[in-house]
Amino acid sequence: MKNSVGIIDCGINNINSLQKAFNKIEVNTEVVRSYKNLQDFSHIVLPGVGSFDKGMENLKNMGFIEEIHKLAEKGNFILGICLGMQLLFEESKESLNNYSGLSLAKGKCEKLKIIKDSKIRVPHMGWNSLKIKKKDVKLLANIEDNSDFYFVHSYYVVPESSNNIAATCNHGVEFTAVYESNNIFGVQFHPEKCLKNGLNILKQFSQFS
Amino acid sequence: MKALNTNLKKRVIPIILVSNHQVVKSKEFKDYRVFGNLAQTINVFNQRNVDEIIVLDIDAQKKKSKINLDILKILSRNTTMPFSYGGGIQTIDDIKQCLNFGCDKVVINSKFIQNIKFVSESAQTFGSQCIIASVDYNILNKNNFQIFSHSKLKTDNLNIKNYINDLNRLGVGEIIITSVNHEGNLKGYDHSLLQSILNEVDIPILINGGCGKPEDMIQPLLLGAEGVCASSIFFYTQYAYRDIKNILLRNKIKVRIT
Repeated sequence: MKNSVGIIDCGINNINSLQKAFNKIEVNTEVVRSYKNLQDFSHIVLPGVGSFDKGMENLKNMGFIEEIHKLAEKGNFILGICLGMQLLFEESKESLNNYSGLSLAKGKCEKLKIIKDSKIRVPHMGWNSLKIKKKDVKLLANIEDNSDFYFVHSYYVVPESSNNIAATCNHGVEFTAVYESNNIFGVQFHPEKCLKNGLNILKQFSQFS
Repeated sequence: MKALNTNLKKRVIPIILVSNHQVVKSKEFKDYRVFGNLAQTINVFNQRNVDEIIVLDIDAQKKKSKINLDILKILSRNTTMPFSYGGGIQTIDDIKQCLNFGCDKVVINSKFIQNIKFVSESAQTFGSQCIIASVDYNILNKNNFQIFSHSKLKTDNLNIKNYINDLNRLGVGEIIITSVNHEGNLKGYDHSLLQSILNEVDIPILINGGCGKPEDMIQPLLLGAEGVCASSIFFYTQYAYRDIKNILLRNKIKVRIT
């Protein structure tokens, strides 16, 4: 197994920014376009731009779903980013076709609520601060509470167990911004766009062993 | 009832206009002046750690050309902050290419005027959050606005409020409204359309056109715009990005300080 990070490319992704970010912290990455190559990587990133259904369709058509399950079970580290985080869960309100997610994390995805006559507009776009909920979150080892991260999304994950909520963010609701359980991780924001703090998170992830 | 709140910061967004590989600045979409090279300009904004940037290829609008891969390559190579690209986007594949170059969002103007169905098509494929509509308008007289089209599309029969409602309903994630009359004049934004649009739609609204000093940004942000776009202020005036943020902060507007 190579000691580098595999980034899954299932069509609609901003892979480029992610690779650039890993380059900056001197972590080797490879873009994985075939499920057959995924097993080469101890650390796997599932990025994602797009809709839940499109994401699951692409993963399915490219044969990634079973392979991801197999490797998750073996203990490979998996980090879902933005839509990629939502795809780790069991289901989403965004799905028009009632697709199941990857179900590596228990819980579902809800839509952020527009609140009339309030300041809450959806999609949630821009820089918002993280509330760290747990001590010793590996992914957030070098992150100060209330640091700003860049969000661009309309849906958010609701993990079944609050024990897995590492950090939250407020936008009308307090939603899960960082998820962690054993070898499965998710961040709702885009660490690759968040300069030092974002790079720190990617660095932590790449060093898990 | 639990207080509804957000710690979302208001955004200050430089807009960079590109023509013929050069960064330019215009006045009322005319009188273009060259400011230099795109990669260098991006690096300056990288160093200032700005919230995000929007880069628009203005040749595409005039020449009805395709997306500009040269610009996208420069953006993808040099930009460390979130960025959006606009200019010449006509198809789903164009959007896909932009995203693959690392764009967080794409900005679409003419294509939506031509074909409003492209809003739902693009939003369903990529999610609303990465589709920004840009709407330029002329102020005819008080409370009477006309959509302005760079591509000389017929817009006479388009009511701007209906149009913006359609954009919202069909799924764009954000709208930039630009007053053509104010663009490049450094005399402040036009607020007359902003308030009614904020009442109509629930998605983030960005305002653009006319910002000449940090104080100009206060009122639209207090009214409820999620962000203020500006261009001239970064090229023609003495204000540094950080000065702008500090002034906003002193006026009790939540912004990201780095």
